[in-house]
Amino acid sequence: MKKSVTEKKHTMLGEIWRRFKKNRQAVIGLIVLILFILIAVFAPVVAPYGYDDQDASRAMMRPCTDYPFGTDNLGRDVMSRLIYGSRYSLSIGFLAVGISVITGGFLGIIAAYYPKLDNIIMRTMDLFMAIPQMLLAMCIVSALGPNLFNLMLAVGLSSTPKFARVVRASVLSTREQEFVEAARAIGASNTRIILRHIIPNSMAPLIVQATLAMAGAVISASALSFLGFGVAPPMPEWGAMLSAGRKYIRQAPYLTVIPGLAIMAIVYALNVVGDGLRDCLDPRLKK
Amino acid sequence: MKKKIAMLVAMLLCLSMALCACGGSTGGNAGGEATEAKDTLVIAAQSDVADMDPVNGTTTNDTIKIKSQVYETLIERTVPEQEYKGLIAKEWSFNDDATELTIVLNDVTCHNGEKLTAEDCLFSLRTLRESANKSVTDKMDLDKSYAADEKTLVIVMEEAYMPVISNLSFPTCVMFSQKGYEEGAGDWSKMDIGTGPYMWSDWSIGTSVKLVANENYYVDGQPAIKNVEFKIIGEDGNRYIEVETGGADICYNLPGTNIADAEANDSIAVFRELTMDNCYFSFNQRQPLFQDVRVRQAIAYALDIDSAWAVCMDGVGQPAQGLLPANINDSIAKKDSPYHVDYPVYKYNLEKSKELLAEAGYPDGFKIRYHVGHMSLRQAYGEFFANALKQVGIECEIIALDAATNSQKLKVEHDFDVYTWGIAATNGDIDFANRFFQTGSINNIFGYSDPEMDAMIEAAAKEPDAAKRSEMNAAIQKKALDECIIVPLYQQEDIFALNTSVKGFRNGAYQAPLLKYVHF
Repeated sequence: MKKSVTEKKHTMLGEIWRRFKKNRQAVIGLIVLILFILIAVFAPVVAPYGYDDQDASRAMMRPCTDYPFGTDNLGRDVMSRLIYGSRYSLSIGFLAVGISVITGGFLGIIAAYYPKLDNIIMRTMDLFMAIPQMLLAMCIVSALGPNLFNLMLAVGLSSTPKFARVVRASVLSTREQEFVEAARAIGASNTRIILRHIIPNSMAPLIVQATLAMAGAVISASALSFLGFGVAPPMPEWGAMLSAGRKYIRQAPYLTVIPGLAIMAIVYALNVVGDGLRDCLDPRLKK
Repeated sequence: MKKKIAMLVAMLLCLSMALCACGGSTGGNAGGEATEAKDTLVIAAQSDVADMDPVNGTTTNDTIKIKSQVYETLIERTVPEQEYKGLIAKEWSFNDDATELTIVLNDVTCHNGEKLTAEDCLFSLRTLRESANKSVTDKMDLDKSYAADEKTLVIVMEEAYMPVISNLSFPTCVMFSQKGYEEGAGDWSKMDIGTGPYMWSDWSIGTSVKLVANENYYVDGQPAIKNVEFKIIGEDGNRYIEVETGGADICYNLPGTNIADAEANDSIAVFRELTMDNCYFSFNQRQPLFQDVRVRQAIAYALDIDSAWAVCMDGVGQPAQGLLPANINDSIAKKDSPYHVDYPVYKYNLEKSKELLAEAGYPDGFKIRYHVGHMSLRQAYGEFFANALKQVGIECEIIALDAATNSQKLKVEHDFDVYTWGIAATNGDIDFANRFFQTGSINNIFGYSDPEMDAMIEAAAKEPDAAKRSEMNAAIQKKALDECIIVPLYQQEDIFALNTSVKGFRNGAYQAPLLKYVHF
């Protein structure tokens, strides 16, 4: 019995991968994403200088062979900062989405599975949805104080309602399925039904939403850092780098263009990967 | 098919971008036409006026730049001479023991058409006494003060207090019509009862403030330009571009990064003036660690003030010249002062810094929090200094909070280790700056307390003899430098970009240009 389940899983994953790799854009996105992850993990090895190595004698240098992306006003190598910065942008993206998946997912499942709580939870979520996401995130950060963790928390919590909705809708349709009824008939507990039957079968829309939300989270985090609600200097968060370079945009456009391109690249990669995943996870598109 | 649609969308996007660009330039031309008509002065300002209340309202430099065109004080301080001149006041004199100040008024009409009388002035001062800015009326006994006749105001003092003249020039110390105030029930957004060269015309919040000339201004020929429009442009670079493209005649708060562009442009002139504030670095002296003067000096030795200025300031202002800027009367930073002291006293020297730290018992340094606030400039200084302090073993955690939270941490909760802030003789008199070092003063963020210093500050404020007062003020500054209470970093500068068609531009006190002199 157990063996056949794992076999089935393998073939399912294989099927997904087979369909995913047909989408060339999504594969490129995935490669870019993996590249960024590797850069982030091996930042100290890859970066030619430290992210906070200042040297006034080399301030504001244009891109050259020694400093491929130039140096900033404090004489720090922009490329090294960008490489270290990928750690912040990626970890904010992943963890913030992790927070919204967990909180949103939990609330969504509860709301869908226990109709009595549905109204209370979903109306509260609607209330949160009424506040612009950026504004909500700014409020959370200013209440808790700007640092890396609070930034993730703010971005994560502010997109919780979206996840709650997606998960609720997906669970609502799953719980009416026959296999759930069957599980209930043989006396399975609610916890078991939720964990073993409902969650695995409502994952697909969640995964897609999570990948797309990650792109949104990177942008939100950059925007918050740009506005000064993000990580404290000298941490090289991309949004903060962009903000710091802004005043030199006429003299040294590379200080804003390069972090901007980095944000664009990672957001693009996450978006096409998300689109690709949606295409191959959507049962209606099965050929 | 898909490709075709994509192409179409791309083309539409390009077209819309091009159209947007055209729209922008049309806006620029419209501004240009307004200047050709020569009766409107357009100014690109950094921030909005916030409110129309001169007494209880916001008193940031940016708001005063606008409000001081509408409201006037009895006395003005001229820049850069730092002399006091009558504005509403024609002349003034003290009695022998400096406890009574007699002021004779000019023939002034308020914007609501009422003549400004000595009674109005007394009412204005009493209104100020009830406001958040009541410290301006310190030591004035306004209950005993009286109007000797319609044009003569006598201010009775509780005791001799020389800074009273500079207080009367403070931007919140404005004069207005009592009748108008009572009719408007004190709601400044509904009344125009000031006496300044311009009157309120139109205000669209966050976009623009429009003023119109006061036809009854008491000086003939002023103001020369009929309309003034402040366009609110928060983004530094865009503000300058507005002057470059002809959309504005003057750009306030020109960012350092645009100075070179502006100077290279034949149709733009740059006006620069050093302000009267220093940005300083200091320590929380409520903590035993920073009560040790050796620790404070060690940190001061590790701060390379000149290099930090060169790296962070983009050519604006200058590295600090002393405890206080040299343009404040009685500052010992003045080169020709008999009490002149060279600055920095603790010249950048990492070896010396390490020695002092070891002597104080911290050979391996320590870890501190550094509150830099929200301004990118101070954050850049923070990053620079954190790097320098690392070299003597001091680890800094930089904390960049928004303005309100930062102020709460520093001024109310005292929850910080080191920080940067500004010191200034805000009302023009050095006494204001001296009081930063007084026990319990609101500006004494660093928590310094020394009864001897307190006595010195009080004595200097009471001394009517100018030469003696200078000596006493010098002693206060020397003591503050010797004990390394604060480490002054840089002096700010006011920079304006002007279209060359703008003539007669003059800066006033409080970084508020005197637009009544401006003409085309």
